[in-house]
Amino acid sequence: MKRILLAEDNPNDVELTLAALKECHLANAVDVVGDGADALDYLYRRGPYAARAEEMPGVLLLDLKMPRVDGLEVLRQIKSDPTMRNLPVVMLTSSREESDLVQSYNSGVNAFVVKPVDFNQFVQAIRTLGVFWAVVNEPYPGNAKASNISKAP
Amino acid sequence: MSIRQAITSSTFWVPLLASMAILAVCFGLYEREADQIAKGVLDRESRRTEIFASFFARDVREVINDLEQLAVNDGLRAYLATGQKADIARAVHEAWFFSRQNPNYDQIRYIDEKGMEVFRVNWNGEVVPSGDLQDKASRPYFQKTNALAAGQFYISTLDLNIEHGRVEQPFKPTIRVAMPIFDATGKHRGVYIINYLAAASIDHLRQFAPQYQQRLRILSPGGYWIAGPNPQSEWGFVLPERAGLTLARTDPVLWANISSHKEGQTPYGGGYFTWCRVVPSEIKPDVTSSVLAEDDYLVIASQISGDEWNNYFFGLRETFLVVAGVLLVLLAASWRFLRARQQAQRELDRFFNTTRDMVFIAGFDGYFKRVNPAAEETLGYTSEELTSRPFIEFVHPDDRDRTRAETKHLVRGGETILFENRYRTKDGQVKWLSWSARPVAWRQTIFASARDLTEQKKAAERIQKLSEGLKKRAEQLEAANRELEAFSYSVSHDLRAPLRHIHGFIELLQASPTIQADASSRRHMEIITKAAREMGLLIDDLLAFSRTGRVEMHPVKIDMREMLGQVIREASSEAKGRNIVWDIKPLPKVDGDANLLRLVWVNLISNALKYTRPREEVWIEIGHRVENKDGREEHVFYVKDNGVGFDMAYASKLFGVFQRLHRATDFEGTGIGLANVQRIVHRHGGRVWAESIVGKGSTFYFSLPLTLNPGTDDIAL
Repeated sequence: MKRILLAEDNPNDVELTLAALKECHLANAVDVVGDGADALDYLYRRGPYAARAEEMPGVLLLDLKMPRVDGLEVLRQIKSDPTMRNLPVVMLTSSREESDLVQSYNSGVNAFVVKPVDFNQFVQAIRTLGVFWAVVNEPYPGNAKASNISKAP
Repeated sequence: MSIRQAITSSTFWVPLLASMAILAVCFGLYEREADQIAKGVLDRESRRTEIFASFFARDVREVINDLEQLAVNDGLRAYLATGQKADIARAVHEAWFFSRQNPNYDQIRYIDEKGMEVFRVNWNGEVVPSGDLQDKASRPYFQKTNALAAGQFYISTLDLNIEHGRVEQPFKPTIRVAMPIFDATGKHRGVYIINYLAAASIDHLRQFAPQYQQRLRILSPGGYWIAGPNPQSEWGFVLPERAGLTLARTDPVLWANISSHKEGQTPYGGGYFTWCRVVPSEIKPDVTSSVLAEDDYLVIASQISGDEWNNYFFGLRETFLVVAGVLLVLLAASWRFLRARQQAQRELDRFFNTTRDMVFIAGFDGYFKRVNPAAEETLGYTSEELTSRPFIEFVHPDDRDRTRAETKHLVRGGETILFENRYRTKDGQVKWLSWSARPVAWRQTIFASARDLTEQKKAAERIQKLSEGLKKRAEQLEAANRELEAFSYSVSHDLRAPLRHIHGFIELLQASPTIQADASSRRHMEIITKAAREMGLLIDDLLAFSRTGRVEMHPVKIDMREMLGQVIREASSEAKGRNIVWDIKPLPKVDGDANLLRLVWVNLISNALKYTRPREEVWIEIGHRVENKDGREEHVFYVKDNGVGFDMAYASKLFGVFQRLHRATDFEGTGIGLANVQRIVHRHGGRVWAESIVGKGSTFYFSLPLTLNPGTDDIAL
């Protein structure tokens, strides 16, 4: 089973996301990085991640707002690199407005999840994502549209 | 103009006097010209009568000459000496010779001292037989001549020949010229006499100037006509039936004049009468005396009739009338032209002196030639000062080069349009002038007008400063607005994260088996959960409100009835089971942003449903009318319900953000809905307001302009 990479700077959100993933029995396969720069290092196996297993993660859960390199920049770099382009990216946004921002950015995001205030709704969203990810073990870029999995609050 | 003014003004007198002067000059010239013509004519008349008189005198003198010749001829001399018949024959032959020579000699004869004809040769050499010779002793010519001394002559008056006591027909005007004959011893021996046919002389005069022959007049002593205006009046002294027809009787004044002057000229019968007397002593100057020593012999005259006289001046008078007419017309025309020019000049002067613009006439030499009062007033210099120095000296030193260049351009024939430069006024101010000018090359002159732009320039500067200030302020406001947006946006977002965390961790806590047992703790956690959810709703509403102010509008044609129908259908599903009467009046189509206007209806309809919840029977009316607001037509929509209503005292708070007039326990809500309605309607250029009676219901109104004219976006969130 491929791993899930979670890029999130806020430890509370990391813990809640992990809790949600745990509810969906996906917690064991998660690697967490604290910002965009680390996320890129992880993906390109640079710096502290130079020694990690060669296999690429199955999906990237990418928070939009992060220090140093933000989510949009990470997304842009991934999608402009032919070797990375096929990596499915799910953007985590804290509001509807931000999801608009991501969509308008139009850089090939595969899905987005608005982090709801209600934790139960968040769990539900992660679960849908988990099902999607589990079923489509080898996802094709562009196959999964935002509207398929996101649930607007 | 009244008559009195007309008479006293030059307009009346100048042309009148001028025309009178022209007429006077014309008349004077005409008089002079006519005088000269008259003088010429009269001179010619005088000369001609003089010449005629001398012609006549010469004719008679030749007869005398012949007579003198005959008197000294040998034949006659021999006869006088011998008294023999043979010598008579010689004398007759001599007379015959003269008769043949001169066809005007009617008779040539010698009469002895007793009055008996010795011989006579009639006309054309017809020698009268001695038996037919007559005794002439009783005839006056014989008696008068017989009494003369040697060297004296007798000349008869011009007479008709009388034969045997009767006037010979046709008339034979005759003059008898005679001389006494003396023999060698000095003894008086009779009279030699020639009857001269004077008709020849008269014809001679007539033929000499045929064109004047009808003017020829010949008068014999006593004023009898020999050649007169009318042949029936001639020969009155011979013919008894015409005895009274003399000039002396018909015009004694003229006759008296003629009698007392040898020659003369006098106006007569509208024309002129010119005469000259043939004086016997002038016929033969060496004759010491004559039978007719008195001058009353024969008058030769020329009479110009009134018609003939006038004919001399006919063309002249016409010519001068035409000339005077033409001159008067020219005078009138030039007077009118002058008046028109004067008028134009006066108008120009008035314009020049009263226009608010400065007007200058400048020479190519760089001097003003004439400036108007507006220029004096603006520049503070007098006209004399402005024209006494080159105009470049009045120009601000910094503008002189440009001004010189512009002047050069004008002198080369160019035109100046809205050229601006600065002038220094007398009191040291600087004035901005805007120039228009055009040269007139042949007059070496520039016509220029200028307008004082100083105030305008100052105003423009002030406006420039103001608009710069406004621009700066608008930029500041925009920046503040942007900051405010960013602030509210990030606040909303940043508020969500901790809220989510509170919520999430409470959920996790609630799932904890140790906590679950404690009922009080669970209730507390539920309250926290609920509070966090409400706060989340507030934040979402706030974000949505911020959005309605920021999203771009896409105006389209909207059928309001259709849109309202959709909104009501969606809303009704949430109000199932309630007894609601919808009264929807006809609604128009409007211009607007569909998403935003739908939000307006959603808010108003959901409000109506919300606040009618306590009613058994709900009645909601939606309608429209067109109103005129401050001269602009607008759609007014309203939603009227029979709900709980609100206190009009708080109506001003209705549309504020998070303003609520009801307790949350009665009616849920965040208080953002009507704020959104207001913001959307404002963005469409409309207004919102509401009326209500507590317990009876409320009516919410919003208006939209008939044609879309988006209002300014609200500056705050």
